[in-house]
Amino acid sequence: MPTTMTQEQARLRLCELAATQASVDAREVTPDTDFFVDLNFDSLDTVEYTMMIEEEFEVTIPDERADNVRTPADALAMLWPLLS
Amino acid sequence: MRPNSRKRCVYQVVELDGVRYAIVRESVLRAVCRQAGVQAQPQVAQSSDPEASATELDDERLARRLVQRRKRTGLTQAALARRAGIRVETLNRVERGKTTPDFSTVRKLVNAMNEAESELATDSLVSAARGKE
Repeated sequence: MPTTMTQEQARLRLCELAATQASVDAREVTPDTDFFVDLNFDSLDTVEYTMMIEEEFEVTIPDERADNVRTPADALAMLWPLLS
Repeated sequence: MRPNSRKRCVYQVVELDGVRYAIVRESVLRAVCRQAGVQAQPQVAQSSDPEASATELDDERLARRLVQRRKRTGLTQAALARRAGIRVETLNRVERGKTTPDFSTVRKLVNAMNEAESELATDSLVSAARGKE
């Protein structure tokens, strides 16, 4: 991850990763898109999305925190403190 | 048979949307059907809880995807369970959609399958390289 990445850039990237996982156009995903309701994620998608974030941002996300993520905004709230 | 010597059948009544339904013990209904020469065909009611139904669908979808993915890696259930460090009985139940695995279990499975896929890819490359020698 570039060290100069802003929260807005991270938010955008989290939306793009969710779109990739759900195989939908990136424009369909906003920070408030619900993974389970809007993108039809199942628990396998959730795990794979978490692992994509870990690889992209070079962080380790504890299972118990990843399990509570439902939207890109949730993902950013979980991720940002790990980047600081 | 005199009317007052007849056995009594006590049942409860519920009314739903203007329709009255009798609730009787199943054994009583079966006995009545038998006497009437009617074949009783019980059907198990599906869950009417939308959230429970959604969970069941999610479990089934997850099960299908996990089985497909495991088969791609060429691993048996036992081999995948061993690599993932979970009990084979647990994996069996997950793959039949009978249980909802937690995040940690799914992550272990994904990690184990990713490793197996990497090994397969490496083996293919080695085989291809040997073929060119």
